[in-house]
Amino acid sequence: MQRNVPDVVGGVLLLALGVGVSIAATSYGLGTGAQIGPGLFPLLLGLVLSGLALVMIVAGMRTAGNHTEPFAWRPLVAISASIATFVGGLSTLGLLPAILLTTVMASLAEKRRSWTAVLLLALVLCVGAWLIFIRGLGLLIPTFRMPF
Amino acid sequence: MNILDNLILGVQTAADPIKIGYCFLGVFLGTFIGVLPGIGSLAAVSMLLPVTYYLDPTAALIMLAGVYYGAEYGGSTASILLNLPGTPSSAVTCLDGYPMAKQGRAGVALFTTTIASFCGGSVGILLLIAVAPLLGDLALAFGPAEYFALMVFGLVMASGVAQKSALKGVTMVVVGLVLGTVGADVNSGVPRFTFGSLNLYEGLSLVALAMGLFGVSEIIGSIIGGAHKAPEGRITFRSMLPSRDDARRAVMPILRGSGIGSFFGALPGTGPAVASFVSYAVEKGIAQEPARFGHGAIEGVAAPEAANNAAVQTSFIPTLTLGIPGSASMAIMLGAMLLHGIQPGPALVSQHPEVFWGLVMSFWIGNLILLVLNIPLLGIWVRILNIPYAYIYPSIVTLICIGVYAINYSLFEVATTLVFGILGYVMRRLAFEPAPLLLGFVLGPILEENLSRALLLSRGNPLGLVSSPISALFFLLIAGILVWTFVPFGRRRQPPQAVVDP
Repeated sequence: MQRNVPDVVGGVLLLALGVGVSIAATSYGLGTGAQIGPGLFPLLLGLVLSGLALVMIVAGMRTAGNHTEPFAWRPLVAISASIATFVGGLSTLGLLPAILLTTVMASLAEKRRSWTAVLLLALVLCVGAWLIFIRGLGLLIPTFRMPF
Repeated sequence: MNILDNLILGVQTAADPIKIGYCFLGVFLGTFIGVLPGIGSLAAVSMLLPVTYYLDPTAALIMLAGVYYGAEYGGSTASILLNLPGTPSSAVTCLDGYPMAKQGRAGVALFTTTIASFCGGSVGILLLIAVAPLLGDLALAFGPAEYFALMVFGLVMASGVAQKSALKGVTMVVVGLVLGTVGADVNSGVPRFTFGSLNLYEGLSLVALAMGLFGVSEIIGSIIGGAHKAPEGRITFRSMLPSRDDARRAVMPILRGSGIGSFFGALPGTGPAVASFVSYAVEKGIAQEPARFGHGAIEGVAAPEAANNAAVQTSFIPTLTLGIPGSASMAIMLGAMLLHGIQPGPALVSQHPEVFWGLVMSFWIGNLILLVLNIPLLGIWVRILNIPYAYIYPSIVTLICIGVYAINYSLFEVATTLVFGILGYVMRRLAFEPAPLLLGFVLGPILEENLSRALLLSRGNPLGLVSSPISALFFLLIAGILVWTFVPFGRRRQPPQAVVDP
């Protein structure tokens, strides 16, 4: 039996979202016809979403799927980690160390890299960011900060 | 004031050397970012949004508009040379532009693109000048019910017509609407879907959402694509000049593309992407030798590029006069206007004529800059394409992080970008388009407010939403589109596929 796997998976996730939204919405208060409450619009959306997701699941079970590109685990993890590093680095070490760490983490997305080039790029980005955002635009971001 | 006075006011506002400077800077940076593979105009505008915070509103919008069409133009350069479309609309340009480049006619394709873009853009601007004020007057007669109907119409158009799968498009719009409800309810102050976090009390950040869905997820998806090499050899000015035969073939497609693009751009919900697809399909349909298409037909480059740029201009019509963005990029532009304290809508033309007409005239200046900038600088854009991606993506990630952080000095918003980046990548893998989601997110709060007002006016009678002739007409159109999209009359709708053999 042929299935469109992306549609079925997407449909199941969306159904969960739709049901969750509908349940949460009822607790916000639905109001009356003329004075709609904060829950009515989300409830309508949740119900419509659940309905659409059901259609998608049913249709996905009956049609063939097309093949997709491979899941890019390595870039996904590396880029996510680099943004998370930026968040952590900026709050503890300041902007310039955060940029350095972000660049290093992001460059892990590919299997091979030249560390000299990565460090050089990080340096260029630090200087560029300092010139544009701190000097040029005058943003109040701490460039260096003591972690403690 | 008549049109002439308005145009003079516009020229006075836009012809200021500082504003021209910002327009130039915007077009330049936009083209630069647009040329980079994997980054479209939407990400370009959101990346440069923080930079414009410190400018006065008119200059900021002029610069952002420059970024927008610079990036649209840069996207077509990457499509022609590398077969890497940055935006859905430039995917059409790949179909014949890349084969032309493989035949050694990249210069001609790029030149045609530039000229077609300028012609399309000019036609679009003329239509904007003629129609926008009239539509603004008409829109003053719109009540909440009419606005509600119009927005539903726009969302249905965006999801049903523009997407490969209408069902997925509609679903993404609804997900966007749900995300738009996050935060305190406007009327009651009740926090919705905030999970007790104060950071979510004012709702999700539009820029964080857009950067995650269009910036981060695109980067994740394009890293594995591997190395791309631009064609060898310099593109000289001589190699760009089209032959007499090329010119003859391209004229009519440019004109038809401009017309088609202007029409589709002006409709709410359909933007440049639909315009390019339709104009390509039309050219292929009326061509004497349709078999040439896909193998480097110049008509297949000229028409969609003209349509794309005409639509870029006319999609400002619903955005500026009704406050309803026609595409995801326009949603970002709308967000930018709101951040600068300008409320787009029927009152914009009458209350801020200098903003409106200054913007319109700057579009033209921007298109001229695009023309003079790109013909001499094509060589540089081509060289940018040869920068290894290993240098580009860490820079973009860093720029996105700083840009999002700089808006509110909020690391929470950077984390939001991360979450939507991952979500956006998963959506790509499951073949869901992020553009309708963003449109739903932006329109959600306005939609709910107008629904609430309309129900208040009709004393809770839902029929009040369809009782006026204008809203009834919109709902009839919506029903028509839904039937046309979902009920197959023994017909298969096949949009032209962007994927050609690599």
